[in-house]
Amino acid sequence: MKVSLDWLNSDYVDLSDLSHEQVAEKLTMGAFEVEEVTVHGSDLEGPVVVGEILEIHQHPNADKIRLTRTRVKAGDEPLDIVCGAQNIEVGQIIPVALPGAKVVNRHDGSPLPIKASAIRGVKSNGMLCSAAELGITCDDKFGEGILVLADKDSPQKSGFTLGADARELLQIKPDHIMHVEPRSNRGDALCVAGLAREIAALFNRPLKQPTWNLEQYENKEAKVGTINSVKLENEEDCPFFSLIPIKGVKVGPSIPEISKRLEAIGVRPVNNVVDITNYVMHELGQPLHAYDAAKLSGSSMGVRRARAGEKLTTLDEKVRELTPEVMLIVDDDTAIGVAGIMGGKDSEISDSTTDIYLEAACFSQAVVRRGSRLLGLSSDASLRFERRVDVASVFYAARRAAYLIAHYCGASGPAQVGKAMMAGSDKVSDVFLTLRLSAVKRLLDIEVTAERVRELLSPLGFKVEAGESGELKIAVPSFRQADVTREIDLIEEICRLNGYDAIAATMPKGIVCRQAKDDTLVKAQSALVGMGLSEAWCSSLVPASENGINEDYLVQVLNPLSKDHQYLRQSLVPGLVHALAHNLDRGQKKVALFESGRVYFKDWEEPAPDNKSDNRQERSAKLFAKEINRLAAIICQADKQSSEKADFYTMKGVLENLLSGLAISLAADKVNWQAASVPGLHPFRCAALALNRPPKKGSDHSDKVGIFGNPMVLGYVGQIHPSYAHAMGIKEEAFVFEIDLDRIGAERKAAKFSEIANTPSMVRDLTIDFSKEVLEKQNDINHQNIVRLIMRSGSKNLVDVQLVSVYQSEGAAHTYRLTFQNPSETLTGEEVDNLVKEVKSQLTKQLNASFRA
Amino acid sequence: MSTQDLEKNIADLESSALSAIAKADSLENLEQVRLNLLGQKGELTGILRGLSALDKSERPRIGQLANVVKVKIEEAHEARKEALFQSHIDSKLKAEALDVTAPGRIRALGHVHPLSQIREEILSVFYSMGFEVADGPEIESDYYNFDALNTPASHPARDEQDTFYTNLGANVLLRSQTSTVQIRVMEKNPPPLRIVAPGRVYRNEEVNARKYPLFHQVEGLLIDKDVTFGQLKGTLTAFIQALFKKPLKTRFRPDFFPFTEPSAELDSQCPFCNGKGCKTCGGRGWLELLGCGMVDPNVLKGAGIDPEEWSGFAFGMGLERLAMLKYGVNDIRHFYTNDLRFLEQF
Repeated sequence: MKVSLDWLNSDYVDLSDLSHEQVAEKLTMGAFEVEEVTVHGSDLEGPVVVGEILEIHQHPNADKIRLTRTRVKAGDEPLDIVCGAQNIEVGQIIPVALPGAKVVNRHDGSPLPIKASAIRGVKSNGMLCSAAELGITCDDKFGEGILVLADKDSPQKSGFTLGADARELLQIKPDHIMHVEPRSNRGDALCVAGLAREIAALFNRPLKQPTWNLEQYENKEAKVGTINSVKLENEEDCPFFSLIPIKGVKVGPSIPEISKRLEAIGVRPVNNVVDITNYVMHELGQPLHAYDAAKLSGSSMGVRRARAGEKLTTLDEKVRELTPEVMLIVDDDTAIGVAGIMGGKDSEISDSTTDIYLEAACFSQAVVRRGSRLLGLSSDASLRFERRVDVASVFYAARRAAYLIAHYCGASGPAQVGKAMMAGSDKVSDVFLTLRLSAVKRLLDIEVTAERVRELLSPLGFKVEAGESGELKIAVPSFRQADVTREIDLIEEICRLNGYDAIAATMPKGIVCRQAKDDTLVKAQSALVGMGLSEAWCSSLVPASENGINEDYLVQVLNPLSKDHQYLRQSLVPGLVHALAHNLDRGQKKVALFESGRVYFKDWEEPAPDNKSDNRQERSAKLFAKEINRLAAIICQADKQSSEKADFYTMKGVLENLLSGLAISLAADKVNWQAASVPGLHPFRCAALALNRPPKKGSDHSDKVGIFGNPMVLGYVGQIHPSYAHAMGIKEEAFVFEIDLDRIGAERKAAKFSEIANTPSMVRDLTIDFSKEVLEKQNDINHQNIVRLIMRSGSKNLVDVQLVSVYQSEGAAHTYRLTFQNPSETLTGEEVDNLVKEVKSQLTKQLNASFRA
Repeated sequence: MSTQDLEKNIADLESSALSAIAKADSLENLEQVRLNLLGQKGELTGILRGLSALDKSERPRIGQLANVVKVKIEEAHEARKEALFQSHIDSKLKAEALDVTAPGRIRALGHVHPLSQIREEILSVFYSMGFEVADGPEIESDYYNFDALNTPASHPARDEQDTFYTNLGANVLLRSQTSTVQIRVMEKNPPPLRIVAPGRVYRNEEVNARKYPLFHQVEGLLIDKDVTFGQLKGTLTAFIQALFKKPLKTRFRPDFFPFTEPSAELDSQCPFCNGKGCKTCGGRGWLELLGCGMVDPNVLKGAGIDPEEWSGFAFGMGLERLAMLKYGVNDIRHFYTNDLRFLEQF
């Protein structure tokens, strides 16, 4: 909302001794943030003086422009000034901009410097000015003519001194426009008067009111048009509706005082009647609408909901298709406006209008908002209805506008204001609240007296009455009855008006922390960053085409922003694949990324709970979907020459390293790797890591979907399927893993010390050969099975087995390094040889391995 | 050999030996000289062996003479060896000279996402003030997202325009604020409470440099006996000072949120110019950092907490906003594009 400081100052609260910065600062610290202060009308620079036209001649070289001789100082030689306006006459007193002055270009509002120059061969020594050129009105329509200060025969003519500063005379000085956004609960302050009330209270200054008197123009007998009653379909949509007939207006431009104020706040002047409805809306916050009485033909004006398919052309000349959610103003049954949002084209005020109906009403906040959204149409009026207008103030605003129209827009003398027609009620019952001074003390830790409360609240219209000991009875004014309904709302007002700064900062007492911060994520991040991976944050809203979406458990957004943000992701991998493609496209060679985040599945255990349940424990225990914390990573090395390889085992190594860092045991008795199938991954290069035994009860939240449907699976590692990579424009092999962080978190173990053996350890390398025939026959020959068998057959003194190399030609040769150690005594070579012999015999027996001599 | 000859031999040996030692120009040469003199078959060793053939009366004198020469030779050898060794080391070290300004051999570290970094910083500060980390679902009911937060059905924020609704039920939406966690925590746990809840939130807004349909907040809640607005000011001022590691001034500006009363917007003195006015703060000297307020009694009541017995404050801040300010990021989309050229700057 734009508010003119000049308007506030001259009509409502004296701020003449304050700078605009002081006013803006006070408002900002009083809950009315001033986002910006702009200057209006400052482009005008002197000398602009009062002059008199002495002669007018035809311009020798142009038809449309004339040459004047204009005197700008008594006794001086008149100046030759060329003028294009048609309304000049000899003897008029007019404003003249002299060379050196800077006025406003009436076409675009830009500064226009005045110089002595030749216009079509005739020298011109200045410019006769229109209102627009003086910055009084910027509308071209009013800028045609020179601003005539006094006509030839006017009795006022003698009051002007030639050469006097016209800016001073016309009170043209820069105005400061504050851009204020009152909070959504403060519809009452969306106007000059409302904001003035706040300013008066914040500065503790008296609030003024403009003086006016409608009675002098009222004529109960004045008959206008055919409407003789007003009707409401229901009083919930529209609690109060009033219509004031006004007879005998002449439509034309507004007086400069009104158009100037409207322009200053960015409202384009239309005509004197419409301008006054806008003026009063900005002054008092009450939207108004004027109808041309001659364009209505019914006997009754009313408010009803639109019928499906009904159409109306609004003032902006657009045809609107309506629905029953939209509220209409009707002339009998004919739609003539969208109630609270915009009037209809057919009944608008035009130059030929003589009689009008002035509508002022209070419409439902919710219905106006809904209608505004549905039609995609908002206006200064709908904005105010959405924020609530005070029903008790509607008719006051109507009368104020009727007064201004009668006073300024009469065809011959003042217009006549007829008897108002009304429906509904604008009565508001008193609301009293109790304020305990102890409650103020308890929340704000400040001592206030009843007197202080009165001092703070009275300027805002609250009536503070003394109640019983320490309790005050406070009447809430009608325009604040929506946002001040409880004691706490009064405490908030006291806090605000007394100043937030007046409350000393202290610290809360005691420490309440019952639970250590979970460090799983932070540990995982630092482990992965240490291995060269960077962290990505991907969107959890994904397109339907995303890889691996399971339709049955899908959480879908019903009103998505776009097709790309339609579903909630079920895996972190597609986001990382996108990020990989993005980076490869931009010339990155090595890409290594990880992300931790949630994946989402529709709950399969029970239907969505009824969250309106009154049982808090029950209610808060229920969730609508499975939200599971995952961690995933992707690596890709596009530079084949690089020493930093990225293959399946690189990724698996990263995962193993990460899990060790998180204190997850990868020992054979705890977990196992198994070939796995995951959509989007290479069918023969994918492994799942699973617990050997089901997890402890309570730690499982099996998500049923895909590989994680097995509650023992902690995660998987694999290569992106070449066809998936191809579809994403990725030419390189890329590898991923994804783990369930919740399951990992449940498996983390605190470290436990085991005694360090002082006996020497002995190492034996063992090369195991598998013939081609054996490999073809047995599909259980893999690293994991070999190691498990070695460990089982090597006695408890076999403490470590490491794969040294795998050589594949016809058959395969695996070399392992076995470490033996007995913590309590030194093993002899012979003992170790015997243990190796047993290992060999088991390998031969169970896996058909052979050994070289 | 006569005694005189022997004496002469010894004297000659001394001078030739000392000269040979002095001439030796490498450790290898010197060792050869030593072997020639003092080795098994060395000259001096031969002389000493020959002493037994001398007359008993001459033996001690000549023996002593020979010994003195031996010691002299040994000392000269040691000294020469030391000198040669030192110069050998010096030249070896010199030959090993490196260009110490050449780059280190590293395995490049990855980078933690800036939003993670700022989240951790925020959580650590609050953790040190006794706040626990809490968590809540992103897929929520309108009850937790609105009703329980004192946001009635008529409130503009509830319009479909701003909130994403889901296929899980007419009342099931993607939370538009982390304030939902306040309610879930209060319903489950009796006061006193101190929590911070980081999380992802969603709003149906067109994507541009400032807006993205999802972003992240950290919510905070403190409920206890006699919690005052002054404590809200103290706690959040301490937080800002800890986050920016500077004794910045703060200012609390009245604002309106449905779930707090009174409500405030917290402005911090701009940490980049210390309040003097700069590009980041738009010359104002103040930066708007977070929203906060005293928990509305309706919210407490709804969660089963007696507002006459308990009071508290709540606050919420946007991770993206803080990260954009702190790191000077000018487009929110950078955070979700995951371009390495962006990530590697943090």
